[in-house]
Amino acid sequence: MRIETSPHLVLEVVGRELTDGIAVARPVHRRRQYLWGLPAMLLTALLVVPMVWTFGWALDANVPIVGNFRALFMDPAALRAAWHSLVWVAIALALIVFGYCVAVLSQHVGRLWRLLLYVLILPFGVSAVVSGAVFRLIFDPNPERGMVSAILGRGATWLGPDLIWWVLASAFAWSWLGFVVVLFRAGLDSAGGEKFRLGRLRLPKAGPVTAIVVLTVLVAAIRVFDLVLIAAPGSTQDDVVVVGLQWWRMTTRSADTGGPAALAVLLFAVVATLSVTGMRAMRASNRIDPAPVSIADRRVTRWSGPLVGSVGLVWFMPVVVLVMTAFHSPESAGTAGFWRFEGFGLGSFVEAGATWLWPAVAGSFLIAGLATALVLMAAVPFAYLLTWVVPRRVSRVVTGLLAILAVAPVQMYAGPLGAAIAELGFAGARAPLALVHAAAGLPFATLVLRTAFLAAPARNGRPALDLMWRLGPYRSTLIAAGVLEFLLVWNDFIVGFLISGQGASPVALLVWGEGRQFATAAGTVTAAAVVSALVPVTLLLVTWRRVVAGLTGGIEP
Amino acid sequence: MNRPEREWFRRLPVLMIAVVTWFVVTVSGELIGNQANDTTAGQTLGRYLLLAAIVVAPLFLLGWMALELVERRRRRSPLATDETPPPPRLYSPPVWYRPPELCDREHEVGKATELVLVNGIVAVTGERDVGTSAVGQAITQRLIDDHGVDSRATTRFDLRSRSASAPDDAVTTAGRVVSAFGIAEPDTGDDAVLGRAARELVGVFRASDGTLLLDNVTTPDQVAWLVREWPVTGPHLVIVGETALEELVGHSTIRVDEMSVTDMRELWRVARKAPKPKWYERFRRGHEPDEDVDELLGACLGRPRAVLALAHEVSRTGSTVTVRDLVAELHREGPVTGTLERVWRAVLTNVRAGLSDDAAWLLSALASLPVTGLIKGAIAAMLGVSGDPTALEELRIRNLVEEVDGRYRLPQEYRRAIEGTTSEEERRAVAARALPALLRFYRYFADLWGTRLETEPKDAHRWFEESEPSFRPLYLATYTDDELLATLLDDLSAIADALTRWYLREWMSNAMLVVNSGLHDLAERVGWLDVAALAAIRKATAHRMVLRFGDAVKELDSARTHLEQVPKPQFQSELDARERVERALVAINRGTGLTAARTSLSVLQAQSPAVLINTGVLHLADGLLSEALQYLVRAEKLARDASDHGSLAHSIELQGVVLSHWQIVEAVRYWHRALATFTRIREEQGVARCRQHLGAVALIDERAAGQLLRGTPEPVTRREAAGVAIAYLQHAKTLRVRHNQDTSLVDGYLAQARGRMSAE
Repeated sequence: MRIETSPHLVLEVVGRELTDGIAVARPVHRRRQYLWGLPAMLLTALLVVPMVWTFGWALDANVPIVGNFRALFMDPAALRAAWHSLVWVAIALALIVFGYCVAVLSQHVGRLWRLLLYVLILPFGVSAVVSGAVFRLIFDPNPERGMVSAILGRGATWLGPDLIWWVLASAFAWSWLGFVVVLFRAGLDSAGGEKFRLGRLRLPKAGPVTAIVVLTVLVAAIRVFDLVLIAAPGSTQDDVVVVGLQWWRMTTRSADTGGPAALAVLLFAVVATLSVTGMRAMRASNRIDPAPVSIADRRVTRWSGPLVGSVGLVWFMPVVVLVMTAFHSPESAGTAGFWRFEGFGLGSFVEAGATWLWPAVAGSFLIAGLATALVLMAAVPFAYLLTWVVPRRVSRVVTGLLAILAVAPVQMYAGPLGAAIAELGFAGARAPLALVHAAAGLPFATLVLRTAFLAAPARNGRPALDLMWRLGPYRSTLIAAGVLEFLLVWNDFIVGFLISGQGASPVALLVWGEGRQFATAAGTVTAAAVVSALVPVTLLLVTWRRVVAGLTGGIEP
Repeated sequence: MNRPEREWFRRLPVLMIAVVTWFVVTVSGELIGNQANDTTAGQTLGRYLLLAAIVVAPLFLLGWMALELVERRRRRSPLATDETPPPPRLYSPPVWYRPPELCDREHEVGKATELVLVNGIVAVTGERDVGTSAVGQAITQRLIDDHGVDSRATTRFDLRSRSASAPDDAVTTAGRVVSAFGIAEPDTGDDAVLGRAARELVGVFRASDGTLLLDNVTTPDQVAWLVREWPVTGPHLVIVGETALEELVGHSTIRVDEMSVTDMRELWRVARKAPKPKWYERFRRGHEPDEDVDELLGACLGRPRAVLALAHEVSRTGSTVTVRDLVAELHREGPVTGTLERVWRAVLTNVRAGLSDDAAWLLSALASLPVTGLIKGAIAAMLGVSGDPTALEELRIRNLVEEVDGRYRLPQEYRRAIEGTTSEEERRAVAARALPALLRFYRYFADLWGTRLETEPKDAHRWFEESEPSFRPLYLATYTDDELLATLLDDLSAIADALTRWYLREWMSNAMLVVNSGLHDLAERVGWLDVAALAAIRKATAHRMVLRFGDAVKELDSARTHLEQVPKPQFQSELDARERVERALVAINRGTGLTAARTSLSVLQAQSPAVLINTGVLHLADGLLSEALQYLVRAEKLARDASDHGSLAHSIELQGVVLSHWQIVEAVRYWHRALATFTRIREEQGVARCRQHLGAVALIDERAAGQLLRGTPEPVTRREAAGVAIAYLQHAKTLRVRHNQDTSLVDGYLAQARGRMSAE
């Protein structure tokens, strides 16, 4: 067809053929497609309804709406807990800066980088309870048992009120540094050497990954709970109590629901604000361009060998402590350090295995497997609908809500949900716990999947829903969502602890239960910790490259 | 088509049901265990249910993985290594190799060489298998050795079709030959189009004074288009084929007769690697009685291939067969039509006995296929093996298959012999295993390269160019078994999807019509109305491409009838959208019925860049510029999100067209952006359009010409503007000619620009 657009200017205009599948938006079909979102809706309701309930409790006071909050601000214990949570934010920020530095330096260590990565990422698969137990062992004040005390000599009480923060911060850093470094490194590689200015310094840019790292680590720091519970001895717990722990104390020490609910709402408000800010920052920055830069052309410096060696050694040490202690008999593990040969053997494994270990491992398998399956079953069609079917504005609003739900602390829904589960006769049951885990993991999984669906190239519209499992660009994200959910549930302590109690028997919970008699149960606790860490660590080491690619939109580390 | 996954175990609902079942089993186990804690039954049942809950998931996972593994092996194992031979180098014809020494035929070669030197052309004809190809090659080599023709300027094309049943037509043949020299493939059989291709080809050979040898020509039509244009004064054209060619080049033909018995005996001796007999030995009897050999050679009817095959049977390592056995085998056969076939049957009977099961099956499979000239990977896929198929090597060593340029073909004589010695049921059984495997293999690669047309356009272009001839016969074949056809149709449909994408990009309307007509007929036969409707819509597209709007509308009416009977609403609505889009495209190309088309598209609400682009064009045509721009901007956004670069460039180009109503310089910038993307993804029609727009705008606006020439909208002189316009328009014209598209508009602008250049 020819069109005269200006005097004497005749242009040829042609249409375009349809060569692929198209998204036909017939209303009747659209409505039917929404049925795929039903599982996700049900799971979300499982999260949202108790949260609304908690809100109700928080607002229900003698002085309506503000009463509970005012009481909270007058309570010195709560204020101290809030202050400690702020200290955790500072620790997290310091860790992020340190992780960034390691990632930048890692660009100059050549092939050794891969080796270092494996050592750094390993603790990420270990639960906070296990890492707490290990650090408690390392810093045990008795020089017969504690490695640090043995090296530095008696004098410093590491688990006392003065130094306990160092122990906790070390344990937190040990778990999270790998995650921070791996993501920063992926971001640095994909940013292709771009720089940003910080005062006089010109530092390499890590791109949009920064927002993911900052958000995840900050939220983890504010929500910290289990680490404090196991690493800090009962006598010093008051000195390191955090908001989450304070909430638990309030619920156990009084029948009042308003105070803890108000604390949970405050905690939620802080993390939700962080999450929304983080999401905006992520949206503002460009999409990550998966074009890794070869590290072959970077100058490999001489100090790289010793540096990698020493960092690797330090990071691997807790693993050595854990495994060596586990390979001592229960008696000698409780009395002597891991470096001594007396009582070396499989005694602790045998004792733990004879009583509770294997049923607990089977229970964890069931809960983690079931929760992961439920999450993927609900999140894949939900993300599909949000990406291709739901109108864009609605999708944007739902995504925002999911970003808030993804960081909601357990304390927001634990109270009402725990009560309802007990009421239904499911106290200590595994299936409801898996369901709660699935509900808690669904928002994050949906967000990750939706980001991947948006980022992956698709020609002429959407792919068929059934194909989502197989298409290359989406597979990494499915693996990432599945692996992270499995790891979170396997290593979970807080959800199981606050909702189901110890009866549900996940390994972490039992490790904690045994760990209360730490001095005598060190052998069996570490043996159980080794066994319980084997599954997530193996899974993580096998899949972490796909997980990072899935989280960062295709950057293969 | 956006079809859901076929394997039931990969369907999302199945996985959902599995997960929910798992959950329910766990809950019930715990509930019963908790509630009925006191009763023995409750405790027992609860415990077992819980055990089941723990065990059921790994079992399900294992079962699922096993199914996945089996499916993957079935579907992909032979494809694990991409056996596709590297496609021929684009614009690089086959290299010439010196042929083996010819046994006798000196007279024919000498005479033919004289003829080609005098007439520029010679046809070497003869009955099938009498050795015409060897004579043709000897003539070509003689031109190199004795008449100074450059071997690098000598090219041989084997024109045997990849269809097992029918030779290629003139358009296909011309396409195969000219595309190797970078000349656009003709898309219709019009004399003018073919003549233009022939003249360009002559130009290539004239420049190098080379020789073109066209071997295995079956019908005169295949080469008539070239013979008509070939100049008497050279270069050299040698055509080799059956006697029907004599009517085409009657004045310059050499006929190759059957071999004499004496020559056959000599060939027999050479093939058996026997020493040349001393003169006195001619009077003695050898260990093979001469009568038997003579009788055996007599059955070969002067066909050197038959002589060689028999000699190979007697001489090959481990063979216990003697000349007498072969003669007895020939006598044992009952009356058969075509005495030569008895030779092939005898050879086949003898060979089959020593073949492995796989090789024997492969032989039958190759005879049952509608295509020939298969690559190694395809054969491995049929056999269900990965790596090099040993069965194929077995057949190759025994000369049962020929290998040319990495493709393996079963000679026609064996195909006929196999057909003559197997029952219909046996052939069906073989085809039922071989064809689905072959089509799955083809589908995999068609899907793969179809999606890479934009991301890796160069390699995808090569792959389609090399492989497309193997696909076309699949749509022209006669499938006698409806049940088998029904199992093949999904793969045929998927391959047609990829081919259509390629045809549209290359503007190959004829090929598109052939493939989709075939698909339409096959789908109608087995009652797959959705595929039939889709094929009818694509037939309409093919008609529209060559401006046959009446035929296009007829096809669309037929598609409408089909699609309204499609039971699945999802497919029906997809087809409905396609039909509406194609009708809109017909309206756009015709320039009539635009408002109706616009209304028809507006009800679609389809989130597809192509639909939005067409809606934008229809608004543009009605002068609704701001609405058009809205649609095009949305199309650009969607295309960008979907990484659909073609639609992205197209929507930007059309936004430029809208802007050119009032902001010509801005329009130039848009067309530049579109041009860059079209060039990157090698969508040459888009490149041609953008260059045409830019050339035209340079001619009518000096500021736009300045933008093009210097990158700033400063006016340039009228002469400079004309110079810029000519550069853009000339390139646009070249591309349009290459794709056989109308050049009247670009010609008009070019004439205007040249007129201005000469006037100023």
